[in-house]
Amino acid sequence: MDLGAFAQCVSSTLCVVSQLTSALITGLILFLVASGLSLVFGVMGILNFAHGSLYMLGAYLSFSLLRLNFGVATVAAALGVAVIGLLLERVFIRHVYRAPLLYQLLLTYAFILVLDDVAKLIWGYDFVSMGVPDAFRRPPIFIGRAPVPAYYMFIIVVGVVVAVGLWLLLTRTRFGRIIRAAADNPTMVAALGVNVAAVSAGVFVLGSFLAGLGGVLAAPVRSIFPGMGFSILVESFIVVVIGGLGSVAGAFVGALLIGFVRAFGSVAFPALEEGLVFMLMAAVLLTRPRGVLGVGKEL
Amino acid sequence: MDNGMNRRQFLTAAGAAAAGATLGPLVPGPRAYSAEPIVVGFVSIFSGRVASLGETGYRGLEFAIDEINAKGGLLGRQLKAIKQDSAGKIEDAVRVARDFVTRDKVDLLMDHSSSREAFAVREVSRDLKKVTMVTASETTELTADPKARTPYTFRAARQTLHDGIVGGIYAAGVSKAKGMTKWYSASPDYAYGRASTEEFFASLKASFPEMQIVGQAWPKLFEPDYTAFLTKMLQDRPNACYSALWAGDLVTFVEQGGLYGLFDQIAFFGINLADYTILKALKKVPAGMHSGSRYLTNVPDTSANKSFGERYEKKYKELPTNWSQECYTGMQFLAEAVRKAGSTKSDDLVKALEGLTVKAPWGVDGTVTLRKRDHTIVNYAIGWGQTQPQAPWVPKTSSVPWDKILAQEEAYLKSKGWV
Repeated sequence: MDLGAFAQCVSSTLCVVSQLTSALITGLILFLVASGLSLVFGVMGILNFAHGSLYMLGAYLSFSLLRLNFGVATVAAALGVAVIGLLLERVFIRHVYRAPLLYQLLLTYAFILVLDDVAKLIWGYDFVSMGVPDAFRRPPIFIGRAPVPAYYMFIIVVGVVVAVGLWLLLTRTRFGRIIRAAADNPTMVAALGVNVAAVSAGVFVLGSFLAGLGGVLAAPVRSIFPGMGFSILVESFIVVVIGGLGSVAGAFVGALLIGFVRAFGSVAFPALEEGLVFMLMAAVLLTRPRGVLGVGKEL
Repeated sequence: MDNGMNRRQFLTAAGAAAAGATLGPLVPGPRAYSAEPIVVGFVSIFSGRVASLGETGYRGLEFAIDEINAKGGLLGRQLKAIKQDSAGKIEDAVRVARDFVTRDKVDLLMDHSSSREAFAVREVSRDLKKVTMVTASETTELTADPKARTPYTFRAARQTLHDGIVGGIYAAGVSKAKGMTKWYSASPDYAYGRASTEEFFASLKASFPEMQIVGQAWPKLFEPDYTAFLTKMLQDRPNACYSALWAGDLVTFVEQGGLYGLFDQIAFFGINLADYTILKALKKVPAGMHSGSRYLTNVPDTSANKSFGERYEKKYKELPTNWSQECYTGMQFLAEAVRKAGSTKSDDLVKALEGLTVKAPWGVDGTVTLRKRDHTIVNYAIGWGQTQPQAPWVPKTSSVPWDKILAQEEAYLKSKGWV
């Protein structure tokens, strides 16, 4: 433990700004992936283990499309993953909505293996590195005396815009109201004449799009390899546990908390940086077993 | 929830996923059905971020086997390899190694695992008394600690201590010239990363006592995001940074560090930078970084080494990695020992392997030797130099004569109580 270093850090703008950026980019990418996971779980009751693989596909598609143009690649890759999500849901996952939990696990876990192998066949066994697009290859922007890479500013802006957009979509639109109603009582929603199957597909597509977007944003700064979806899947589960099952706002809080714990934990407890995230999860489970923003209802 | 899942079931399911991940999928290799060929069992990582470890290592082994078979094989028998993926998991590496010996009855074992698994596979080798050629784990302790050594394990991979000694002497020269006293490190948090960093700094300090370590970052192996470590490093303002990160981890670190302009301010010494997988994966190899030679066709700058690179490239359409050459060399040792012993029995092979010298492209004088005392390879080429953005990437390297490396090694091993 190094509390001296921590005290010194919080009293310096340079340190606070740097670690804050670090927390935000880790947290926001994680939020994109975890919010999709949480949404799909909350509305459809499906625990989609293949969600991390959609993140991986987002990264690979963006890597392949980059030669067109970065803007096009970003949008096209995220939409591409949404289309893959639609196919997955319509062809496979819709058959297990009412099946026992084990069937869902087997099916979605199988897709981790299948999609990893597909990635291996198309892009090779080895990791690939995309590098940041040329437009962002410039000296970092200085806030105070702290450098913030231009590309990280971009991630932060996109992450915040998507978070706000998602919040507006869920709270201010008819689609959002139906989603929340379907999460609460799908039978009643169906009885009211809403096409629940279409809503489910819509939610799954939205979740896939978010995971894909997470992968697209991470691709230029992380190495891309078959199996990269798994570690973010585990972290996303932690976010969902911390934030509360099915709560997108909870996913936002949970993801940012993990970002902060990682960024400031590396200063205060360098030896414990990894374990801190799990300790945070344990603490939330003990004090608020439904998660920080989990719904009050007994599941 | 209409499928009736509650929080407890969710957690059980999430736990099951984690357990599933550790059990992991295995890729079964072809089995040996005939007692006819001499079979080498090859355990390595063929999936995930370091799949290139297994893939390019196996090519090195296969390349050696094809050459040997083309010349009539060994003892009138053909050589054959079988491979299996450990996915980088200790328990799987152990199981694969055991299955190779007890079920597949392999004649020889090649352990091309990371140091995380290699210590456990060493115990399999000890227990089953099977000659095992280690071709990837570089951690000094694996063969240097006499209390833990086994008679059956040999290492044809570099040893962190040798690379660290040369790196430290090279870095001391650069540090003196540029007045770089404040040092930092960023290495993966496991046996290899710790050993490599400690040994590099020990050598640097011996030649440049003014140096001081102002901070150390220990990200976990396969860390996806180094930002928190990078920003902390920028605040600690070191003059130079040593790193034992490797493969995809190193590429990610260099890319993310580049975004912060880190390498304009801090001299970077990456022991694993100059390997073709890394150099080709980096979108832009930054100029002026300091690197140890992993595999380069110009280190050593001999016709044998150049020819090895060319023959390999012709066959596989890519240049060899350090791992390809280590597996290639490991097979040369095993083959020569089988010839010398006239058998594949473990005890005969141990006698033949101890102190054995074979021809190898990366030998400083065209040969490398398995030292009798600790079964580790010596006399291979180690060079340090600066990068440039295009091939040959590290045009000039400087080295240290092996008698000096060995003298410094002896002093270090004594300090550890290992000799």
